Amino acid sequence: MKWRIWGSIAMIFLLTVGVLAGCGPQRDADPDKKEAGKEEKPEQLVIWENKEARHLKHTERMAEKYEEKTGIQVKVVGVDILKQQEKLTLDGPNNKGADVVTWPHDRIGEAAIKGLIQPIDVEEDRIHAYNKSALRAMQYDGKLYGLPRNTESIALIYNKDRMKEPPKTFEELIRFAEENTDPAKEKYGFLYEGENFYHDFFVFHAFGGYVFKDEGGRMNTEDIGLNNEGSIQAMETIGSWYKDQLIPRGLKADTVNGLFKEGKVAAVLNGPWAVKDYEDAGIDVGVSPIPPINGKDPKTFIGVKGLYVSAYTRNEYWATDLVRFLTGKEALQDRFKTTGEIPSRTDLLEHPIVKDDEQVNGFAEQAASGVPMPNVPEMSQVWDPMADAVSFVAKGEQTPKEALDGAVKQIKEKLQTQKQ
Amino acid sequence: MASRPTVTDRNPHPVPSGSVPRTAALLSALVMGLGQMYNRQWWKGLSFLIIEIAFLVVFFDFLNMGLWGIVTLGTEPFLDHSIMLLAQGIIALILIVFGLGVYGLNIRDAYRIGKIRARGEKPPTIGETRRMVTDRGYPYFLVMPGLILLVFTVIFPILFMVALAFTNYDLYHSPPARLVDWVGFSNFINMFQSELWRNSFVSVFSWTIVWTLVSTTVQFALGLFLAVLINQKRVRFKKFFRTVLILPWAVPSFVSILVFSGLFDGHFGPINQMLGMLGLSGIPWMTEPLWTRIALLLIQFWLGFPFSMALCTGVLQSISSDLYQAAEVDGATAWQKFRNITLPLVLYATAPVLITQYAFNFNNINVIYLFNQGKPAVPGQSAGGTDILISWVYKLTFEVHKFNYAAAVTIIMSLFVMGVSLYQFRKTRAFKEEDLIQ
Amino acid sequence: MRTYTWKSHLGLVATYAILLLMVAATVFPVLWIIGSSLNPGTSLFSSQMIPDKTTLEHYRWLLTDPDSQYLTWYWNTLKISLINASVSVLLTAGTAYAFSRYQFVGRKYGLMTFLILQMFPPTMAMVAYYVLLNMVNLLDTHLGLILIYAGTQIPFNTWLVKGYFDTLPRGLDEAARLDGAGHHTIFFRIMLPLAKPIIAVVALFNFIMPMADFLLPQIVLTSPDQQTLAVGLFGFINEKFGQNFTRFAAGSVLIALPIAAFFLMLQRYFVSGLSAGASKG
Repeated sequence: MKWRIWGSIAMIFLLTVGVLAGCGPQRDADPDKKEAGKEEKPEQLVIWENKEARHLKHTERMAEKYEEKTGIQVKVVGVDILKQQEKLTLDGPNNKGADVVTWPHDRIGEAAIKGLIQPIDVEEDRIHAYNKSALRAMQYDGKLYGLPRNTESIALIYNKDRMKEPPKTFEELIRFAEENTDPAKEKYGFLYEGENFYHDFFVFHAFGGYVFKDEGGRMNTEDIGLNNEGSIQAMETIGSWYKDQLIPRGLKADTVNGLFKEGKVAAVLNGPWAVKDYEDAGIDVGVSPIPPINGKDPKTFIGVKGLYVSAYTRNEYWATDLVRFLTGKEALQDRFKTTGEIPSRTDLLEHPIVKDDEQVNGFAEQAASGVPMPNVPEMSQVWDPMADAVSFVAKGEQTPKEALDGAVKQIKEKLQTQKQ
Repeated sequence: MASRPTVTDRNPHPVPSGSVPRTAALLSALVMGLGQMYNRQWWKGLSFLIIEIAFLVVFFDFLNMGLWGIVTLGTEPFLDHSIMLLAQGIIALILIVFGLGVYGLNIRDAYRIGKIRARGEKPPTIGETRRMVTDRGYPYFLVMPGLILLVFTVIFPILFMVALAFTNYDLYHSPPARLVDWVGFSNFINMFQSELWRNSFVSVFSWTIVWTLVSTTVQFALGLFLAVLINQKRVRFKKFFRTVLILPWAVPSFVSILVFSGLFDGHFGPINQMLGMLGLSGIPWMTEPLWTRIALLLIQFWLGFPFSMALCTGVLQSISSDLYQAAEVDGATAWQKFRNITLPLVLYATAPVLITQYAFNFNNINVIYLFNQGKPAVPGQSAGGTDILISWVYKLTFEVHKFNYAAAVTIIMSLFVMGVSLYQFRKTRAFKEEDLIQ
Repeated sequence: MRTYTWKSHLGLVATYAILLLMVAATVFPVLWIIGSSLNPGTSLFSSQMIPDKTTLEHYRWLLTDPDSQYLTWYWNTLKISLINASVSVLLTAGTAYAFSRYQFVGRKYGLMTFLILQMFPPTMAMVAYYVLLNMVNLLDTHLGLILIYAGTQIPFNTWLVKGYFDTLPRGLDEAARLDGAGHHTIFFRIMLPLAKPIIAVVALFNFIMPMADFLLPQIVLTSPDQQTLAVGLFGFINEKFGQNFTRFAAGSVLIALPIAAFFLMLQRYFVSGLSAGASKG
């Protein structure tokens, strides 16, 4: 008897569950999507700016200007630049997201695949105002996904007391290092964080190496150029610096900085973020573009911070307009003054405020000609294997060819898993 | 102490037929509380009814959406967020289990009271019921808040991960642009066909086992050893030693680990500088796998021994000195006393803690990751020389955005650890209840 | 009276030698970090244990600089720690008392089940917590964080406290019951005060946990001004650019000192509470 009771109960329940599972959400036939008149002005636009005082200050000031100009109120919300993607994923569907967002360009690919941002329409003639490399960074899969604000690159930073003026060629720099390095006395001519592919890229590029083949705005991730002839030569060159004990292996950024601040290194490679710290330590800091290597101007990896239009916005037209305004000449000049970040516009790069500042100009010149870090998500599989390859060569465990073949094999395996 | 109705009721009710319990149960199954009302327990019935209505009113939309969501994982990109739907579905299931619990209780109650009535006795009055609930229900009242929290903080994440392991959630199937789908066991199959896993699995697995066994055993042994040393009668400044030696526990471990990674730096770290002063050449702590492993073990000993020491000190102090005196009369050496009295007693008392510590170190990603990110790299394999399973899996799956694989490996790993621990737990007597009640 | 032989003297000397060696090994990193915090400059590498010129600059910066959020973090953390400790103690003591003294469904295997379930790596649970808190609108709130802390600590600590309750003679509560005391009275008036040592241990564990955890808050708390000390400190050295080791050291000293003091203050409870709890569990 008991069984029968429980049986009937179970039946009743299964029925209810079955009915529920069948239902699902009731959907309006016509969700009020982007149809609502392209040019119709919204009352308000929301922008997520990096949650840092100086960034917010600049953007809030510009937001007021934009309201004066268009009558649209711009609400500036501080959200950590590295957390905006996750936040947009969650907040977008509930209409709590922003119209305009920002993050470093190397995360564009991921965002585009997830459908968080949308390609934007910008007139041809306006586009030319931006630096070419920076603009290239904003492209993914052949489409433009945003407009650049600031570009960052490493450059040669030297101690003016120990190096009168920057060498004319990289080879000269290495000779200088040979003469001025004595590890026993903790004295170094030139140091950089070699076991980090971000810092090594310019060498690979100068000898003809590349990460993924760039096919007209599209990255062919099947074609990896990190173990071609040029890359092997580049690796041999890097390896020789370790072999000649110019650079100690296992070197970390913190050590490079520490030695430089104590005046024990004449020159290092680093970015604008390091300068203030160096100067605070009492070093007379000079900045110049990295001298030509292998007869070519070195092209470093650059990082570009851009503004993108959220895929969830209902005001695509005006959000794009706001992006244009915030990457305009007036805005980026204000931003430079407020935050010291190097603008991605050619008109500002030629402007005296940049040109006349030796330090800024050093970084700016390097940045203007750099190669954007590939913004495809496949890039995240490249960093570790390449850094490891340099370590193996530095330690003498592998020849440059072995190390690079190994790295490329591993990158390919990872990519295969990623796409499985 | 329970106030069950007594059998010797002097005023028998008009005797209802033998089908009362069944009818009551069925009525309660149909609508909660109906059976109770049929049993003439109006207040109880009303409460059950209200509970049912409230549950349905409050949760109907949520359950509806959740159940639909967990089955379909969404049907329209951008509108449906598969992962949120999955989570909602799991919570809906949890709520349903809770609901079913109350529902079952309601039916059982109707049936039980029905039986009482069928025997011709009077059902308990509202006052009696209330007294019974507060009395017998007290432990449930105590446990309930904790249990609810546990369900959400322990059970939910596990269910969520288990569910993910059977989906295709990765970069190319990420909301909002794409939907996630159920894919059955294919992750478990595909994963092991990938070169990436096979080329390093054996070396990582063996290091993980070595790491787990050595770090836990030594940190415990060291703690016990120090506790015994300090506990000797003739050692003075006991308080000083115990206080200072507990320090590593008091400093947040991530701070200590990061400090150690500075201390062990191959070129400029103080440890190598000191060794240099002793005329020893620098040891490649951060760049040779063997030395990095040694450094990691040393650090884990340092981090882990104070807890064991505190624990063992307490146990030692509770061991009766008669035992040792008897042993001394028999002419036992210090070692024999330790071997035959101290060690068994300490191990017996601390076995469950020890087991959880083994499990903890098996999953101890913090120290591995913060010290050297699992490096140094080893040619030809995707894992670093000091990566343990968890840190390796974490790196691999999150770097390639394969959340589904991450979930699948985690489940396999967890089953392994849980299985071993369960076996060990059952071997120790600590969890076999010699019942203290009655 | 037994006389000490040379062998036993040697043993004593060896004992002290070992203890002193351990003290040195224990104290060295701690002193080193204090030393670092007094160094000028920012890098780990150039700092020395005994700096040539000491400076309190890093402490000054942390506590007074307008760019520093250290005090906000400190306050957040203190708040979270205190609430977490109280909530956890209440939850745990109640659950443990039930496990020690009452019969109920799930009593036999409930605890062990949860202890074993918790061997599921917590790193993997983070994603789930994020989604869960987002659903109930507790993302980026301290309450959400505390609820997770308070929930996950239950099994292990309940097990400890239950062990302690088991050592208290049952005669006590039975006598009280005969005197007509209710469940609440027995629990709050009699059992809880008796369990003070283990309660102190649990409170301490849960006070420290939020101070040392740098993973979960990073996931749960998204805005910088909600952040906790551990995350903020971690940021000083984990940032890609502008690592600041000496500032990290100073911040760590300021956080480790109160914990250590608290720890040492409660030490006497520790040994008795912990071992009684653990060994009878």
